[in-house]
Amino acid sequence: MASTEPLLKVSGLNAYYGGSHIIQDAALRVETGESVALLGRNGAGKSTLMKSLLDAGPRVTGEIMFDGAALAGVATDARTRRGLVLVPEDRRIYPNITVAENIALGRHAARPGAKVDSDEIYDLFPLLKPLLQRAGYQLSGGQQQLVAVARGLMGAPRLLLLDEPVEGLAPVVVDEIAHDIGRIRQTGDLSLLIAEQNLGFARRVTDRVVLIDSGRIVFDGGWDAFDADPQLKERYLAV
Amino acid sequence: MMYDIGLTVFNGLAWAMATFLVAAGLTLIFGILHILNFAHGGFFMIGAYVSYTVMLAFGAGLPLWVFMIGAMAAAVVVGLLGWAVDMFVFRRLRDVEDAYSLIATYALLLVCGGAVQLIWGLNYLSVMPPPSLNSVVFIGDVFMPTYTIFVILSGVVAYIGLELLINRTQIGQLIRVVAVDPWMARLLGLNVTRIYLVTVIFSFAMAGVAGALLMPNQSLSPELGGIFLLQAFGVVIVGGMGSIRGAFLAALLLGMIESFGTYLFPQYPGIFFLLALAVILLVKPSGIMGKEQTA
Repeated sequence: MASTEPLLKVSGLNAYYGGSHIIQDAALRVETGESVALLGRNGAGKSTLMKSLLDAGPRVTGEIMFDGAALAGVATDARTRRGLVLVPEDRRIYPNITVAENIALGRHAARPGAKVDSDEIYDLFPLLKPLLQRAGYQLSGGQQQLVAVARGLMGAPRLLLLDEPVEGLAPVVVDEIAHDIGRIRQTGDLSLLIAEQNLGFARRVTDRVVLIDSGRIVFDGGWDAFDADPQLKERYLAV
Repeated sequence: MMYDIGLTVFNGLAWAMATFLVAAGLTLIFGILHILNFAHGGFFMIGAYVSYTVMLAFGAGLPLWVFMIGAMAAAVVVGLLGWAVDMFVFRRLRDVEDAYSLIATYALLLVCGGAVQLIWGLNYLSVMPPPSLNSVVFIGDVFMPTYTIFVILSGVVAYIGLELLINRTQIGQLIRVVAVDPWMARLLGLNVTRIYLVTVIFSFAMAGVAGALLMPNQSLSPELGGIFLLQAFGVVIVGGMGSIRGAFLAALLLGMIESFGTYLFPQYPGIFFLLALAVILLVKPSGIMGKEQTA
């Protein structure tokens, strides 16, 4: 019996940094196998929302249900082992170990008994293969991003959170990453939540749009509905 | 002349390795947890007292293995104290300003001194090295107490062991990863809290072993904690905060400067260490291996 419960269901989520109330009463859901874009301007709260899901920064109140269980009181590292993995915006590749060692570190996030094979993951990112013995500090921005995503996949995630994966990358690299994400989605029922400002990229890799502005979710629907209301783009994404 | 140089080098090595034994745990905790542990000298002292108690229980004229059991006991007792300190003190210091760490660990140093007074009293106590380490060997004309040779070898073994542990083992790699970026380590599923705990227990156990190994020929008193700590801090700072290799090189450098300084100007013992400390920090404030946080 397939469950009708979404994989991730967030309700009444509030997040604070010190006295600042960043995320205000957010609700969000992601179904199994679904890819969702989280769109918003710089400072809209995309990163804070993602970090909140892992208890990795802000103080958080509200309910986060993942795979039918509440995450309140579950430590960050334990959340990753339930299948919730975040690839942060600044990638955070460890500079003094090799690419292969960086990717292998991701395995700590895998559930006990989960099958992860580094060779399968290298196959998903053909560009990585020649880089495996390079040190983390020797990578370009695009290479770092590939390593970060590969490292995230080593944790056998059920929901992979990508925070602005193509920020600052050249168009040809953006194209490559869009292809890679497409390939990853074909390998199983991985769900994705992708924070983005690049509309073209987001459109290629996601099924649905959640729009965030000043810490509030202001739109949640399909790309058709998003496109049908040009005001959304004007009000919430135009710089 | 050759005799003097040989002896001075030997004394410098002895100073260097004794100080490195104390400094190693100090720089490890700083490198990984970014806590400057003022109480390190206090736990070094407790290690010395624990070992003293073990040796007292076995009676006089002790073989080397009893001495080593004393060191093991010191490692276990002080390591367990490290577990308690991490649980009840260090964990609360992770997200606060450095000033709180200094005050908290200084308070711990006072607690160590008080505990030693309560348990072992104020009297000066002393222990001879075990008989097998209580002789001398001559290399050429140079007169070398076997106990001092033992301390030098212990320092070298501790250094090589630490380098291998940090750079060649699985847990060492995780420790390095956590030292560089604990936030990302958590997101990769590492139990950072546990890795910190292991680091603290290990560093404290090293302080305990250092106390046990360096105890012979010292007067045990509740002030012992401060004496080695000052030298160890100097070595940690000159080496580059958090760098094991830096601490080892700095111990050698400062040991030689101190030893040759005292040989040339015997009326000013101890001052060359401080002079060198000041000059090195003026020239290179981040220390010999500065920047490189753990290596």
